[in-house]
Amino acid sequence: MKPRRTTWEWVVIALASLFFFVPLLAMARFALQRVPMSLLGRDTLFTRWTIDGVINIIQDEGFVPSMWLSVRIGVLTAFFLLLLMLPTVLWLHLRAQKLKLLAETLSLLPYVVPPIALVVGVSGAFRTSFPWIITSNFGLVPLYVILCLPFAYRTLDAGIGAIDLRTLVDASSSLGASTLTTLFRVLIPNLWVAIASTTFLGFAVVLGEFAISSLLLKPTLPMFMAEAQGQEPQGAMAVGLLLLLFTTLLFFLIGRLQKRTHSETQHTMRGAP
Amino acid sequence: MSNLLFNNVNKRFKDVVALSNFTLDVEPGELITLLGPSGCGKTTALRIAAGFEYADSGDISADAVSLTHVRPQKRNMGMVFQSYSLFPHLTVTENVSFGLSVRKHDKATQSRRVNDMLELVQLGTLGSRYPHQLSGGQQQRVALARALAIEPSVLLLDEPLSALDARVRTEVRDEIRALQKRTDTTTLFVTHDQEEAIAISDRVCVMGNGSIHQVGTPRQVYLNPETDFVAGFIGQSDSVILGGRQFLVRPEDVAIVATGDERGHLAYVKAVEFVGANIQVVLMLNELGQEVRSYMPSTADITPAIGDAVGVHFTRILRTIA
Repeated sequence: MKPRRTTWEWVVIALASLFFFVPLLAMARFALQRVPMSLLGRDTLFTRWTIDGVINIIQDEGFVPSMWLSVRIGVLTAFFLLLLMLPTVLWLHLRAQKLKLLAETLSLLPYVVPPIALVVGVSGAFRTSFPWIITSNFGLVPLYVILCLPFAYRTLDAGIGAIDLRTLVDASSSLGASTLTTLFRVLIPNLWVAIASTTFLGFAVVLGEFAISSLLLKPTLPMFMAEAQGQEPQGAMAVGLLLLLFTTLLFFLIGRLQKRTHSETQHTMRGAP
Repeated sequence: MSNLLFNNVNKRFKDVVALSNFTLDVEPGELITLLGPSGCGKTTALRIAAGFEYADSGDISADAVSLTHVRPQKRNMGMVFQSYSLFPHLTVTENVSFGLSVRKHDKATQSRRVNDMLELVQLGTLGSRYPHQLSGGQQQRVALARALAIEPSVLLLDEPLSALDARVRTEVRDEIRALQKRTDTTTLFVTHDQEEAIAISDRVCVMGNGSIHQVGTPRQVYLNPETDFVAGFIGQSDSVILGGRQFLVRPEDVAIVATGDERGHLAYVKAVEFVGANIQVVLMLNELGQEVRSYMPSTADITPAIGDAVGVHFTRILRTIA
């Protein structure tokens, strides 16, 4: 049963919503109203809304290539992130509970290592043996995988913690399933919310990352937007707004999915009445 | 129908001895219960049989073929777990056919076998349901159907009833036994519940601290416990010291007689409790102030009252403690 929210909870929710929506509204007005900034006020709230700025920037010859590059980097990042982290976290849960603390700490490192250190370190270490990390645009993928580790670890860890992993694996292997069969037919279907979340998170990080791509001079979407800000500030802001809304929507969806799956799992563990 | 043999199996977890010199021969078609308190090694023995744990030394074999180095996938053992272990994303039918599809049986065989199995556990109409739409008892029956569908050489049951409530537990317990007999499947059943063990088993293997205390029919372990541990663990008993000898008696073997009866020892009634089928009378033996319980049928005409002086006659001594 859901307890009813108290007045104070509503006040907090309202304040948090204001904190979130007011800047979004401000962005939207700046980006989508052809009104000089000094005149943006209450009287001009409904004046001259237009998406010309967005159209201009989308029509810019730099937009589509940079967007396409970011999307491909995003897909590759999410793929390698899962390839690396899903088996690792499963293994930690099944075989190496004691190493979990170490893994958790390690996965936090990207938070504290500044991008410049990462770039300088990587370029110094790999420049000679793997020059493509510096030269190719896709050299960003391994760096972004590292950048995503904290989110990926936590999301997968929580998802795996919510299922009875040991029993599912044991049941599956006692029925004759190989490790790969168990992974694809039992574990992935039961972890798909965590997997989808990890994918979205990886994607969101890639769509917003600026520091590393600028240090390595890669023509990604955030780089394009930073440059476009000079010529078409409103359009750049509009694209930024769209990206923000897009990721917000994704996270909202993830939240809903997690909630639904969670209640179903709980139900299974208790058994229906 | 296979025979399962543990031969001198030893297993330690760091400093804790989980199994020591564990030797047990499960006959084809037999149901043996591993019974003992938590931490006695019973689940470890089962998991070693399933291949989820490896023994430090000793051998385990089925039909004289050693399984020690065979991976769990290849052992062909059906297992039912304590917690609900059905795959939540698959329907009942898909759960039961999982082992068959992994073994690459054709679709027709799969669906025939699944239907047979669901009929067997009386869930024929629920094939399209998902696990979260089933009750706990139904889930465990599906788990049993899933384990039996692969025609396992040995069925392993790891406290499959402990998550169920009392009434359903007896129901599923009897069903497991009936199915096991019908399919003639060699079965190893782990439980800490002595009543369950006694009700369901051909033989009970009583374990404590990683070793076997006694293996025998339910009747043997109940009536003739071979160690003090078995006597104390199975059924109710009280320890009495009389004439310098210490022994254990069961409440049903303690008869209340008249004070003048020459067989009786003088005692006072300390408490009288109605416990359903029986009335439990707690008696204080006069000699040493020891307490001993006696069961009398609930339908008895005269029941003693607290403070009454009575005679106590031990009709049968369970075990003399050395």
